[in-house]
Amino acid sequence: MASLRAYVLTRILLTIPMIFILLTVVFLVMRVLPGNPVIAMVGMKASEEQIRQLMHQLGLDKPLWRQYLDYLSRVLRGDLGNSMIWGRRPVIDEIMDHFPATIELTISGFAVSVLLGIVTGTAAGLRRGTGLDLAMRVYSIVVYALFIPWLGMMLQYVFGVKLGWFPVGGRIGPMMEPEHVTGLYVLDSILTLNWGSLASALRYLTLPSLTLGVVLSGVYTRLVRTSLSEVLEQDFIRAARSRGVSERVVLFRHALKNAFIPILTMMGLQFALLLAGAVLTETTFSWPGMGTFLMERIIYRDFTTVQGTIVFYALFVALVSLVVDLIYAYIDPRIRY
Amino acid sequence: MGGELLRIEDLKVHYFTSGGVVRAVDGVDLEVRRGELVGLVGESGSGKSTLGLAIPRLIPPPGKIVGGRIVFDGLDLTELSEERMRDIRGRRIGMVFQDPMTSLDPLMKVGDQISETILAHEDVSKSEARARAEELLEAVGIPRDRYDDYPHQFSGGMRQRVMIASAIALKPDLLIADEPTTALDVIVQAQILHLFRELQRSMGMSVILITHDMALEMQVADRIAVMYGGWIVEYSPAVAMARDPLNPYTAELLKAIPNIELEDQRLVSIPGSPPDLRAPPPGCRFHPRCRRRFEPCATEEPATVEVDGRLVKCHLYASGGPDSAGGSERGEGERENGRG
Amino acid sequence: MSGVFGRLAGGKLATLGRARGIERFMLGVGLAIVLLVIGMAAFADVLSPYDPIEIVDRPILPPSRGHPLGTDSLGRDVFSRVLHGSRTMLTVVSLSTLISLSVGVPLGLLSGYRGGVLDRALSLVMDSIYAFPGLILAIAVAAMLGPGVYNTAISIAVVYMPTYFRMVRGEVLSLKERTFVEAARALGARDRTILRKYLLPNVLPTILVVFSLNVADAVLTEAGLSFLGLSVPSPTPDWGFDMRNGQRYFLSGYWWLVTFPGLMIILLCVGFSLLGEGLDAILNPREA
Repeated sequence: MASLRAYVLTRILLTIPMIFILLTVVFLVMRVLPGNPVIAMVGMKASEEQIRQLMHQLGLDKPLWRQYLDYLSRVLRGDLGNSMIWGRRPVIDEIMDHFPATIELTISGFAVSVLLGIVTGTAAGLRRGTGLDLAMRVYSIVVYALFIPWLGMMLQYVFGVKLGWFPVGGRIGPMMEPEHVTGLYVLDSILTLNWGSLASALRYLTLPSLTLGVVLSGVYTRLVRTSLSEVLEQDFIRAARSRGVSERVVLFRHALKNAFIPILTMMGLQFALLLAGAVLTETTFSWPGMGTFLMERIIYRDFTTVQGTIVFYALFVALVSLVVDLIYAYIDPRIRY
Repeated sequence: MGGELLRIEDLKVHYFTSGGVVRAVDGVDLEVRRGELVGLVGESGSGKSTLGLAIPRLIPPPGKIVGGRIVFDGLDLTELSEERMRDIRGRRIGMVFQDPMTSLDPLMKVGDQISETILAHEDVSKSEARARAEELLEAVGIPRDRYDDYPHQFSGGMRQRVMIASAIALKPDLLIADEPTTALDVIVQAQILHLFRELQRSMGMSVILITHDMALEMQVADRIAVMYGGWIVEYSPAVAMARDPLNPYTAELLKAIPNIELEDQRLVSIPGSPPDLRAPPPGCRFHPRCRRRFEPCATEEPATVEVDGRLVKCHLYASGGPDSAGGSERGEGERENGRG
Repeated sequence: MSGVFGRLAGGKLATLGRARGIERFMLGVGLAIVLLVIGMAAFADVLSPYDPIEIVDRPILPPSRGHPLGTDSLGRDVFSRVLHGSRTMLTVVSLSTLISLSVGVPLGLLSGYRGGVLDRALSLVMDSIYAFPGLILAIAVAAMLGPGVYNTAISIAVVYMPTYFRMVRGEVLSLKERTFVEAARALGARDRTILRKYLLPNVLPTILVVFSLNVADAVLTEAGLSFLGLSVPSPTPDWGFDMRNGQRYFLSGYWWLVTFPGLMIILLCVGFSLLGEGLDAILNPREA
C-alpha cells in the first residue's frame, strides 16, 4: 500500500505546476496578447477617459508583473473577482449557478459516448478486417465530424418539432425545478423523491446529451477497437479459453477489462473534449450551463467574469485529470500495490 | 500404463495467411495412452505448438483444422459443437503455456484464475471454489494466503505454478504443456518439471510436453514424438530413442544435446534451416539437410512405418530401402518398451 | 526543401502504391473531398450565381431553380454564400495551421534535441495547454483579440501548437539515438545542420499525418468559433456564422439555412480525417 500512497502524493504534487502554468497561460491570453482587453471588451466606441477609468478599476494600469502577482494571489485564495454587470456578484457565485448544469450535461454525454463507443468499438475489435470493422471505422470518422450544432439542430427538428417527443431547449419544465441539493436536477429529483421533476429533467436532458454523446463516441469507438484487438491477442486470453470459460466471460471479464486500462489513461483528455463540446451543445440547446454563461458574458463584455470562468475551467481540468489518474491507480493492481 | 486416451489421425492444420497457406501440421498421427507422458519435440516452426493447440481446438485465425480426426476418449473432437468443446477444455483437457508472464490476466487475482476453471464447469459456490483453489495452490507449492495476490507480485516460477494449478483444478485426463519451462531459469525449470512428474503420477493423467529441448524430454518423457516440417518423423519410447534413434533427424537432435561430461562444450547445430511451410520441399521435408539422403528422398514422401513397435517416417525404413544398414545395427540393440 | 521532399518521395511515399485497398480508398476519397472544397474556394466567383453579400431576393425562399439552396434571412443567395464560405474556412484554417506549424515544429525540434531544463519547461507548458479544452481556449483568445480572419487564425493556432510540438519532440527523442544522427554528430556536424538535414526530414511523414488529422479538428474549431459569433465579422460568408444566423428560423421549418453550411463543415472534416487516416495507415504501418 505504501507505493500507492507515494504515487498519489507524487501525482498531487505534479498537479501544482500544471495549475500554475494553466493560470499563467490564462493570464497571458487575457493581458499580454496583442490588443487591449478593455478595448476588446468595451468596444471601439468607448472614449479615452472611459477606457482609462476602466483600466484603473481593473488594475490594468499597474506594471505587468504586479498584475500577475495580484492575479495569482487572488485566484489561489479562491477569489475570482466580481462581475462587472448586474449587481457585481462574486464571479465564483455566478459560476456555481451554472456549473451543475454543465456537469449534468457532460456526465450524461459522457455516458452516451462511452456506451456507444464500447458497443461499436467492441463490434469492430472482435471482427477485425471484416465489413463490420470497416463500417465502424467509417462510423468513428463521420460521427466525429458531425458538427455539434448541426447534429443538435437536426435532432431538435426531428424529435422536437416533427415528432414532439422531446423539448428543443432549456433544462427543465417551468416550475419543475427540484429542491436544491446538489444542483444536478436528475440527482436532486431522485434524492427528494420528486418523480415529476425527474421525468421532466430527463426529457430535457435527452437531446443535448445524445448530441454530445454521439459526436464524441467516435473517439471511443477507435480507442476500444484498437485496445481490444490488442488485448485479444494476448496469451492470457488463450489461457482463459483453455480453461473452458465461455466466450462471453472471456470478453467481459478478461478482454474488455484489460482493454480499458489504456482507455482510462486517456480519459482526462477526453474530458477536455467533452467540456469543449458542451459549450456548443449548451449554445444550441439554450442549456443554462457554463458555456452559455461564458458566451453571454463575452457579449456583455464582462471582463472579470470571462477571465474568472476561464480560470475556473483551467482549475477544473487539472482536478479532473488528477482524479482520472487516481482512479486509474486504483483500478490497475500493478500501480495499486 | 493404461489404454488409449487420445488418437490423432492424419491431422492437418493450415494457416491461411496473405503470404500463402502455411501447412503447420500436415498429416500427423499420434497416440497417447492413459497415464503416459509423451514428449513432443522439434525446432521452432516445426508445428509442435500448433499441434498442441489443435487438440483442444484453440487454433487462432487464420488457422484452421482442415482434415483428420482427434479422437479423445472415443469422441472425435473435430466434430463436436463449440459448446461441447468448451465443456471439455479445462475439465478434461488442461493447458499450460510457455510464458507465465503473459499467460495470467494481470488484472485478476491469481487465486481467481484457478477458481475460474472450477466455476466454468461445476455448479459450486464461489467460496467453495475458493477453498478448492487454495488447496490447489498448496498442492503446487504456494501458500494459500497468497490467493488474493496479483500476478505481478509473483515470480515467473510461481506464476507457472499458478498456471499449472488452474490447468489441473478439475483433474483433467490430459494436460498439454507448451514449453512450460522455457521462460524460466534452470533451477526453477527443474522444480517445475519435478512438479509435473509428481502431479502426473499422483493423478494418473496423461501429459503431452511440448518443447524444443531434447535433453529435457529425455529426462521426463515415456515416449517422444519428433516433429519436423509439420510431420511427426519418429515416435519412440524415450530410452530406445536415446540408444538408437531411427530417423536421421532424431539422431541430429540427440547429437545437439550438450554433454556435460565432455570437455568440449561446443553446441552442435544441424546445418541448414527448417523448411518454409508455405512451400515445403518435395519428397521428404528433411532431405535438404539430411546426411543420409538417397534417390527417393527428394521426390517421394516417405510413409510412416512401424519398426519394433516404434514409428518412423523415413525412406531408410521403407521396404526395399538402399541397404538395411540402419535396420541391422539396430537389431543388435536391446529392445526397449518404454519405462512405465 | 526540394531535397527534403525528394527524400520523402523516394522513401515512405513510395509505399503509397503498395498500400492496402481500404487505406488507399480512404486516402483517395479524402483527397477528392479536400480537392473539391479547394476547387470551390478557387472558383467561387465563377460558380456563384450571385454576390454572396448582396441581398438579391426575398428572405428565406426555399430552394428553387433560381436559388438552388434557397435564400437566407436577409434575402442573400445561400448557394453563393456556401461557395464563398469555403474561402473563409480554408483561409482561416490554413493560416492557423501555418502559425501552429511554424511555432510548434521548431520548438519541438529544439526541445527534443537539446533536452534538459529547456525541454522540461517547454514540455510542461505545452502539455498544460494541450490538456485545456481546445475550443474554450480558442474562445478566450478570440474574445480578447476581437473578430477577423487573422485573429481567428491565431486563436485556433494557439490550440494546436502543442500537438505539433509534442509529436515532433517525441519523434526527435527517438531519432536522436539512431546511428545516422550519432554518426553525423561524431563527424562534427553542427547542431543546426543535424536538425535541418537529419531530423526534420525524418519527422516529416509524421507531421503529414498529424497535419491532416489536425486540420480536421481545426475545421471544427473554426466552425465552432464562428457559430458562437467569434470568428470573421458579418457579412463575410462563413459556414458556422451562417448556421448561427439560420438557427432561429430552422425550427420553424426553414431547414436550408442551416443544413447546407453544416453539411459543408462535416464534409470537409470527413475529407481531412480520411486523408489523415489513410496516410497514417500507409506511412506508419503497424500490422502485417
